[in-house]
Amino acid sequence: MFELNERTNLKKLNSKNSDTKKLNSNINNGQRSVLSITSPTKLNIIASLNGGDTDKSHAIDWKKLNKSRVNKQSISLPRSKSLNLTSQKNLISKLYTQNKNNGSPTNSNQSSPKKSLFERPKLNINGGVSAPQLLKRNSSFFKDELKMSTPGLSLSRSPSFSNNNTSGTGSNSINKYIDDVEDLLPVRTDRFIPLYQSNSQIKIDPESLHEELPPPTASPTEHLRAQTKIVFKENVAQACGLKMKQRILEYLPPPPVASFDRQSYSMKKRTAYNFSQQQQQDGSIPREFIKLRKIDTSPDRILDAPGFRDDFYLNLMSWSSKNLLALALDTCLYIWNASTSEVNLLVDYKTIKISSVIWSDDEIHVAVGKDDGNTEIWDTESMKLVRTMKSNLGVRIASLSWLDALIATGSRSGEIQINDVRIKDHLVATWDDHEAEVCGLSYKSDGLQLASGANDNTVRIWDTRTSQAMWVKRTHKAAVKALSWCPYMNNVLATGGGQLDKHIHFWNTMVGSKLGSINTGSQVSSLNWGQSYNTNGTINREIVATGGAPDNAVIVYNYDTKFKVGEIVKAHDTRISCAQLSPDGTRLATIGGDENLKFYKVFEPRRRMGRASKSSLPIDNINLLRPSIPGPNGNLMNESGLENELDRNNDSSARSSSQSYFIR
Amino acid sequence: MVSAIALKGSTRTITEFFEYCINSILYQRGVYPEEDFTTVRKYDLTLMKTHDDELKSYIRKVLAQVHKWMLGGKCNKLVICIMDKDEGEIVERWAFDIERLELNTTEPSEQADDATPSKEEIQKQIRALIRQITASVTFLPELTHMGRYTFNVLAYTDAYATVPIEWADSEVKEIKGGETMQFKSFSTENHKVGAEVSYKY
Repeated sequence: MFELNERTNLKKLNSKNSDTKKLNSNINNGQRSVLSITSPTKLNIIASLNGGDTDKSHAIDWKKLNKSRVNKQSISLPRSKSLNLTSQKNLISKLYTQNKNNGSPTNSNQSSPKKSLFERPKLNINGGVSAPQLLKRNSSFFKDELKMSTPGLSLSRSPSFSNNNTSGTGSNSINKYIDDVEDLLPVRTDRFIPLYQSNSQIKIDPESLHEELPPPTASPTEHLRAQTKIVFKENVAQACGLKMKQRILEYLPPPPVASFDRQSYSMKKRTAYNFSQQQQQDGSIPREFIKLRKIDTSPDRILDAPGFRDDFYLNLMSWSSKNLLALALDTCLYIWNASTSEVNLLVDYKTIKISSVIWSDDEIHVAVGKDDGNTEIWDTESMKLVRTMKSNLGVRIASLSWLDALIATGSRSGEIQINDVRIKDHLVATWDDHEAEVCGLSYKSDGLQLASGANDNTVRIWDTRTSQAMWVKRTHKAAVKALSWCPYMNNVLATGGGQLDKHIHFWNTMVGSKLGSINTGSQVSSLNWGQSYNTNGTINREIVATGGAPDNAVIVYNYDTKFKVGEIVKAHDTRISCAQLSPDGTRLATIGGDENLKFYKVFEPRRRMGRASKSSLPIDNINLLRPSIPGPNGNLMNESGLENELDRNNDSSARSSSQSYFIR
Repeated sequence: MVSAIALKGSTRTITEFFEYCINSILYQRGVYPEEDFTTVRKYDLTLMKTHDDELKSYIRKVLAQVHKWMLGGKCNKLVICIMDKDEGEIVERWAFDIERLELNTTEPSEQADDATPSKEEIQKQIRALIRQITASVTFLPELTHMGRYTFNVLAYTDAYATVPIEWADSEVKEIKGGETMQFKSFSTENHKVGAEVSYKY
């Protein structure tokens, strides 16, 4: 007995180390391997356990064992390492007692089955909830089980067990019944044929080969039999095309979904200068811990905006550098002076609704896009209409963007029209690549590129020199309204998608690569770049997004880490449709469907950095901007003809910039 | 003792190679959009590497496990299947055989002399292999409908390897009636890595 204990201990140790799996497959193998569980030897061993000892304790153990088996089945993990160690230990110890008592348990059981062999407790193999498909053998034992189990849905001890021995040919009626039952089962053949349909279940459990080696004390016949069995199994496996020594494993989690974009205009040859990478390599900037920004969650000021059109696709607010806020409410356009709080009604169209508003770069003129497809330019000093530009499309103009004297208009039908306000035939180009309403338009500050976002879920970045889309980004899954060029990094564009998309993507518009993404959790109706400063004076590049359901929040993200650093939840009662940053870059004016215009302070004032003025761009760039109309003498003549105009233009821009808002 | 260290280094080299290889394949075959990749210098080559965080971490997770298996000598093949998303049909199957070289500890001198390739030598071999893989795009059939394909990683392991829950047994996923192109191989101190691609003809 003492010796026995030692051996069990040894076995326990082993089981803790490497053999855990083996044990697992030995006992809790309800669904792992067909071959291993259905081996009659083992069933006999299991059965004989009860037969050998009729102690009460063992009966309890059996319950435990059953429990563990049932648990295992109900969890139905593909491969679980959880072991019911207690029951196993019991089993092992029992195995060894068997060995002690009988010398060779399997042999004795097979040759002379005791009566107790059939007094097995309930095995919920096929009567249980989830029956593994292991009843595909010709064993009469199983046929009988099948018969017994199906009517009552559970195995029960019955005298009919004693009827059958190895042959298993019962009466005709029973056979007929079995045939009927087998009709219901997927496999009707009398051989074990592995099913190829599910990949996780077919495999040879290599452990099952080794487990059947009898103990060294067993008789030579016993060994021979075991070896034969192994060879047989190998042959079967080979015949089924399974390799014994190898497993082919598949990584189950699916790879991330490719966001597919194709560009129509290739500029791949350009080398990329990765700003953020460069900085990291230098390591010149001492890193600070990321701190949550303190943002005042209550608005500075709330204004009532009755009649505001809560339409995601429209851009109804614009804030000029002179601190004038233009706001379109239904058919009226109001100019609100943020310094003096004066309100002026610029125009009331009575019948035609306004769909977009934007200040020009000279801060005097404001462009108004209307539902009838016309774009009007108003002088805010004289309060007079300067010019009406017809789009001849008859659909509303939802987005506008100025570049000096050019104004790009995005229409509901998907066209982007470039209008030159100086010339009579104002329409200089029409780009109709978009398939749905263009709801976001933004010129880059140097004028070389125009970003457009539309309801066809694409972002297009246009080369203004070639009038072609350099890049088409199809990553967004919803309309793209929010577009924002980074003021302090060249060629960085942030785009935000609508209700279904919820993402902000950052792009390098020169090489066309995506620089990063943020999932905001709500639609992105606007994006504005800003900044805060660390105690050591380094800048945190940040971007503020406004959203809709569920939080109607104003959220500030750090661009470099993509972390959310500040948030104003429930900034509005309904979704925020438009937001504009104040000229000094600190306050965000937001307007939503609740017809409130609110002002939140989200950023720190800029340091050492004036607002990049588009009108200060170098002359050669302007030349390039002109849509080239090759005359008979080439472009030269055109350009020389332009010189005068440009001079005038520069004068006016210098004048305007001297008047414009400067940051303290 | 020496071999243990060498094994680690060798395995690392191979894992790193796999990383660049998978990235290159995904880029070359257009499984992921071009813009998700940036150029990096590696093995004296300009290679494309993804900067999409999700994909990066996915590849990393796969390779971390493969690395573990390789350290234990349990993994002998890595397969990247490019398959049709809609039909589940395998269109390309890139297989990398990993052969563990048996070390003859009895002849250490000979080992040092010719059997163990130098770092430069390994780099050269890897470079040649990656060049070949890159060049294979010319003869591989064009994968029409960009964005329609996804990929799948298979690892052939020893029967006794411990398997994390993310991995499950799989079929071979071979391409029936496909053509196979054998690439060059490279060998490190302890491993020999071969590569081949089979594709639908």
